[in-house]
Parts: sequence; structure tokens; C-alpha cells
Amino acid sequence: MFFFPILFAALDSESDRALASRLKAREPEALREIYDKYGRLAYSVIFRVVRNAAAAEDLTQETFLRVWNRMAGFDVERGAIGPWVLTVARNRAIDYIRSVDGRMSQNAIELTGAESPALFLDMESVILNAQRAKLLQAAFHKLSEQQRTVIELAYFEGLSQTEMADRLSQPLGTVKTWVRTALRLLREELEEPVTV
Amino acid sequence: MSDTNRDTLYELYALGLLEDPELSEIEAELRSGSPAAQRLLRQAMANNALLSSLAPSAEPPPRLRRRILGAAGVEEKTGWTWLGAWGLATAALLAGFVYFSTETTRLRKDAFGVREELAVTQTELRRSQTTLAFLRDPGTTILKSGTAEERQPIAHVFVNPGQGVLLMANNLPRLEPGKVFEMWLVPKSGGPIPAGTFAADASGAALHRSTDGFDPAATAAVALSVEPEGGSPAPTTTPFLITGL
Repeated sequence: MFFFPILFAALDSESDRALASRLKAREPEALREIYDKYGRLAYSVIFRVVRNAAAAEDLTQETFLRVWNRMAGFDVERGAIGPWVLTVARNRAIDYIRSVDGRMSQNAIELTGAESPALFLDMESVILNAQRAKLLQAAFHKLSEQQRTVIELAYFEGLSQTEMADRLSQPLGTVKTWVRTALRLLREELEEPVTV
Repeated sequence: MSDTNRDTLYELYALGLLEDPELSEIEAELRSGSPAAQRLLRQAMANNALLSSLAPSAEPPPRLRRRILGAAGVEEKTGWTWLGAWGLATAALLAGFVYFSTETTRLRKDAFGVREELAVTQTELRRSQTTLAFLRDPGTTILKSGTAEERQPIAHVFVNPGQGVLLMANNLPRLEPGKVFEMWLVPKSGGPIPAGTFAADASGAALHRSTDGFDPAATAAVALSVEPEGGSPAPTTTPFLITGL
């Protein structure tokens, strides 16, 4: 079962903007609200990555504390808090499995930078909504098995293309082709243009 | 390069999958402050967030909400309102509640601080491990500039054809607010290439690494200058440390 009908239907830029504003003012009730709105989504992403309930709880806590503690740098008027929360959640989880696996790729030290609130400006609500999530789901299932595998290895396991080639015992060039073709096909299937 | 390819490159970058030379190309575009590059990156970040919808739904345990609110020093809503109906009990009970509540909040804040400290320490550890791996690599060579005289800036530059440039500097000058140090790769022909900004600690020591498309055969020197926060596309002050390759 996928969570997108529940999650993305709830993504409303106006209410998120108000919520972000209250979080920035450090209203305790706002922390409860953002957890109630995105906690399940964040936990689902983290659990998919780490596949361990105890670790997923710790990392979900770390995600929301990080967001709570770094709201000062968030642009309430232009920022998209939902994508930010989900990105922080995914990055915490990838960072965790890299530490556990002892994987120290160059990208491992870059994840924190990829969470900067400044990267989540001017994303309209059209970016994350139920329709686009459904489109992505449908597009994902149209991909070949190899293309689906590499997208999952990239997003949910944080593997580099070289690591994927090792894992799948395939030439690096083949893996790169699968990844690029999959990304292109997913983008083409998302009918609505993304407004940024 | 077509727009479609550029979209894909930024999506690869946002996923952490892009490798040199395309990685250096995209990072250079982003450093230049190009609005088009920023737009493509945000679009790629948005697509990344959408990929989260591929995760199967998992239900967090109810205790997690209490844990998070507690760790942030926010009290979970409970049935304390019944106290109002009881007239807030006695003054002694209230005083005791206030004391223990304050103490609990303090302890939670302490715990939160420890977690943040641990996260910083883990990040530093990873950075140190990466640096050590760079230094241990047989392909790494060391260069030096500056003098060992007390309080004079001095830099040790480690170069590795496959892994970039690592700068270890000491005795760096104190900077005015809004200023940073910027490293430059000075090619044998053409202008200096930005290689990232950084700050020094209170003692004037700094460690900075650039992995952007370093080509030792085409590089004449590594230089350091003081620039406005955010960095500059070309030096705006005279470099004060230049290390020849």
C-alpha cells in the first residue's frame, strides 16, 4: 500500500505556509501539527530505507527536531515545508545506512547541504499533490524492472551508480543508461508542468 | 546539450548520482548564481520529494509523537485541564508541579542538546575519515606555502589527481563579518577557478577540500583570498597565499 492518497491530498501550500509561520514563531502546537501532517510520511520513507523500526523511530525524531531547530533559516513566504521535511527524512535515513554499512562515498558528506531550506523555495503546491503522485506511481510501474531497481537503489538506498553496478553485476555504462532513461521517462509521464 | 538532458543532469545531481566531469559543470553553474540553474535544481529537488511516494505506508508507533514533542521541550497534551475543575488543588501541589515541570523541561533540553552535539560529532568524524582517506591515498602529494613564522599565514596543500585538493591552513587572519576565505585553482592559462569558500576557527586554522574537476596538468597554483560571503566568481582581493604546483 502506498501512502500518497493520504499524504499528498493533505499538502496545501496555504495551510503549510501558515504552519511554517507558526513553527518559525516556535509555537508548540505547530510542532504537534507538523508531526500529525507529515510524521507518517516521513516515518514511511525512513522505514523503507532503514527497514528497522527502532532506527526509524530515532531517525524520525531526528528529522522533526532538525526541522524544529532550523526553522530560523526557512523562508515562510516562499518555502515548501513538506518537500523539505521529506528530504530531511530521506537524507537522515541514507546517512544512517551509510554509517552502518561503512559506505563513505563522496556524496555522504554532502547530504546536509542538500537539506538547506533555501533549496525549497518557490515550489508551488502542484509539485506535490495526489494527482502527480498517482502519475508518478503509474509511470514508475511502466518502467522496466532494471529501471525501477536503479531508481529504488538511488532514492531509498543512496547508492552511487558505481555501487549499483557492483550490486547488480552490470557494467557502469549500462547502469547509467538505465538511470537516465528512467528519470527521463518519469519526467515525461508527469503531465502537469512543474512550476518553480 | 538539450533541455531534457539538463533536466536529467540536475535530477542526477539532486539524487547524488552525478559524477565528474558533469558534476563539476553543474556545481560551477550553481556557484555562478544562475537563476536557470537554481530553477532546475529546485525542480529536481521537488521531483526527489515526489519519489518519496514510492515508499510503502508504515505506521509509526503512538509513543513516537510523545518522544518527539518531549525531546523538543513541548509538552504532550494531556488531561491536565481537569485541574481547573478541581480549583488547581493546593498551592503546594502547584509549586511542586512547577518545580518538576521546569526540571523535566531542562532535562529534555539537555537531552536535545546532547543529541545535536552527537550529530555534529558524527558529521565531524565522517569528515575526518574522508580527509584521512584522502591523505592516505598513494596518489596524494603535499605542497606548502607561507612561512613558519609565528602568526604568519601558512598553508599545506594536498593534491590528488583523482580526489581533488585539500587545504590545511593555519594562522589565517580574522575576518570582518560578511567575509569568507575562498580557494582558487589557478590554471596555467585563463583566470582563477573558484574552488569553494570556508571559514577558519578561532585560532585561525581551517580545513577545506575541493573535489571539483581538479586537473593537476592544467593547474599552476592554488590560491587563497578574502571574499564576500557566498563567494565570488573571480577574486576581488589580492590572494594572500599562493601555492605553486
